[in-house]
Amino acid sequence: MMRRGMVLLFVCAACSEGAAPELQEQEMGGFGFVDVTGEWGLDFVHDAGVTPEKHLPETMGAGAALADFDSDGDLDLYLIQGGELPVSGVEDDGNTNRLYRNQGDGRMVDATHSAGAAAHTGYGMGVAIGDADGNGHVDMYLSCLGEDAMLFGNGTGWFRDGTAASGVRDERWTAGCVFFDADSDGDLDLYVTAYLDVDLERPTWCGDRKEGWRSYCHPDHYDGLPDRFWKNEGNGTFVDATAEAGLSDSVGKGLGAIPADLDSDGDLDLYVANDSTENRLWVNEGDGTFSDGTILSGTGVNARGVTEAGMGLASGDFDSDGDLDLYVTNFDDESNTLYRNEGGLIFTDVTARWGLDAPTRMPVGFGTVAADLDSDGDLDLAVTNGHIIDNIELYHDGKTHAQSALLLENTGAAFQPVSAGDFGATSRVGRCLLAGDLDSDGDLDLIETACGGAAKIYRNDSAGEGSAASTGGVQASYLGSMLPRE
Amino acid sequence: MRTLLLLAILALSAPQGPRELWSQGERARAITALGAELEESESATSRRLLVDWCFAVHRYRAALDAAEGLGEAGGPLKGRALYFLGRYEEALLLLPETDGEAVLMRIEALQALGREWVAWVEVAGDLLGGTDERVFGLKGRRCMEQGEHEEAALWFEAALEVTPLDAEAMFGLGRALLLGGERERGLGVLERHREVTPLLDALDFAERGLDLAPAHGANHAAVGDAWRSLVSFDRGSYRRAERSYRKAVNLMSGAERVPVHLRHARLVAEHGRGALTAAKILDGVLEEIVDVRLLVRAADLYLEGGEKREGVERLERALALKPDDKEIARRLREAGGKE
Repeated sequence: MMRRGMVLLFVCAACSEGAAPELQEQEMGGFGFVDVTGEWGLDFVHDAGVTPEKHLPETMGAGAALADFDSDGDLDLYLIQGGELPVSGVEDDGNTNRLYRNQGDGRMVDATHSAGAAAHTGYGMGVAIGDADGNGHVDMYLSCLGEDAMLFGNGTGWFRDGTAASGVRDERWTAGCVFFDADSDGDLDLYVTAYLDVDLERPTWCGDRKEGWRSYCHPDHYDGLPDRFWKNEGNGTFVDATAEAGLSDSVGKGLGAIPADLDSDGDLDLYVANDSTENRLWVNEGDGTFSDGTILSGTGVNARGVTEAGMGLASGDFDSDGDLDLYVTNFDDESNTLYRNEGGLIFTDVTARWGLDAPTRMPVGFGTVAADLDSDGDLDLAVTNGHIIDNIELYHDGKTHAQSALLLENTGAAFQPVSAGDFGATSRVGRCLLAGDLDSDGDLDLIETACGGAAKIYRNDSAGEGSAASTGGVQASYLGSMLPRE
Repeated sequence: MRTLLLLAILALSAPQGPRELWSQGERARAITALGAELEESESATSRRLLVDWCFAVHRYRAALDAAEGLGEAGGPLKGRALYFLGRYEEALLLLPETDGEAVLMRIEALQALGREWVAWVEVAGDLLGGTDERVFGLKGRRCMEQGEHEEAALWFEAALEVTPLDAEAMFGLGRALLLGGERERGLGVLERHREVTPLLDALDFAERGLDLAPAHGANHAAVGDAWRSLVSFDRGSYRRAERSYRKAVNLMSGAERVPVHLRHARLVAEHGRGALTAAKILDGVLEEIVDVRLLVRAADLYLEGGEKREGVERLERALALKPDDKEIARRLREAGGKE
């Protein structure tokens, strides 16, 4: 009976992908994304494991990663799967994460069967990629609802499970995760955000008791969990160095983390997006220890002094002044927030001034990408949106579960919403968003995952000449990962 | 007699009017009923009420639809609904320029659209009066935009004089001091803002729950708890907490009131008239509800206030109600009483 209910819900989710409202904003021209999901062979559908109990993890969707897993010079795609929730009495359905190999021109072939441990069956959340053991091949860390995993690649697209040997152990509800060399010793350390302390065996009833009105509980119902910092011992084994690194005070319902040199001193600082609690900016002291720069920088809250539901993150030099700014996606009735780096670790919330308030006030923002999507030399923003509450229409008649993605063109001193072909043309429950040149034509294509829905690839047919790598910047997205671009 | 009984049953089971439903906290049903009533017979008063009710439960699209029926008179209400729906361009066409609250929305809408808004701050000031803290906050915001940090700090301080828990003013003051060169003082204010922020978030969360179910006593108690946590930042929160606990108790019955009385006693003991007053409050409750939790807490408060005999007496009564409770027995022994 429960199984049947789930099937029906997924059918409904697919049906709910209606046409997006017509974009009223000024047409900028220059942007054109074409949905090539089917044409390029991507057939991944996320299984949220929806239950009548409305467990909050069902709303999260999952991440994805772009990297050259098989060392053939193009970007392959790894997609995280959900599946049955880890509740006692429920059998794992064997639904695995999937690895798609790029054939060089963007066409994807499902190579999960030859990916070894990458065919992971846990209820997945996010993924971090990097060469953790220093052997020149891409490795992965998987954050899960339940036991996380460390997978070591051999450069052919095959992975072994090295979780136990790596010393990394986390069975909590973890989310955003990222490899970065925190202590400048040449190897990649790991930061893993943990989200909420949720008891799946005793779910709380939230919302009205009327039939069909049960709702997902707000994160405020649950305690946050502390993030963890894992120091790489140099060979792919890790020790929990959270306290030694000065990161103990990191209880904040973390969803996203992005390393970036925010104080322009040559080492990587860390910005953490926390849901409904203060975001954190951790300043690297140069030796892999961190001090809390949140208050000084003003990046913990928005310009009104209010916490927001930080989810997705991107960093880049949006105003072309030589330092890195921060962009954070948030919940509805909050805008996404752009913090401009003023230097000296002072940031200013310039969301409204840069025209980013109104377009992002109503949607629930998740994955975001800061990239030069029209190859004009500056960083544009793409955001995928989608509410977490599947029956939100019952509670707020102006809101919807599926929402349109946004593309925001950087005009030099402001951003302008633009239509972008198929990207944002359909309402979806978007979660992770990545950018990468899948067809090796010199521009950046977009990959978007959905909660309980199909992952999509949008080929970039935008006008403009130039290189995908022309603007640099630091990339991260909600639960997803891309190797840093030079 | 039988007829009277039948009439009473009929009266109880008769469909209730929308206003009764609303007053009982049945907000969704009240809105549906009032909508149906308007379909039967149009009335500007009832329609206006429907719009207000839709706003109260955050159903802005429904408010917009309902306001349509008011003709031109519904313009300002439609403007407000459009504002809350994030349709700022349309809202700006309808929000009246002569209403202070609407001008505040106009300013927010203009800001959201990245347009010029500064000139409207004076208009808001003229309409809302010289002591409205929101106008002070806007003036602070305006000065920050213009890099006038010293003046911004003065405006934010003025806002905090009126509303000590204004998050924007507190954050703005800290930032203005920091950027204006008063680094240590600014960081101090920002530390205080950091401490109060989660408490304000909890209050906001509790108030949203209350909006949806105002007849649910536990929601009032949750708001009371949120206010109680803010008392050390603003004494005015004490009365708000008391008021919320009182409303919660009025909506509850019997033993379900006990946790609320205990929380009220904690408020009084920690932030009000001290342990002994709190103990006496619980004594008053014990006249209505005999509950071991009330007795134990009253005992604690009496002992804390130095009234050992009273404390022991309450513990003895508690143990009489729960003779096998080892913890109460232990505490009674420690207090010098006899088991």
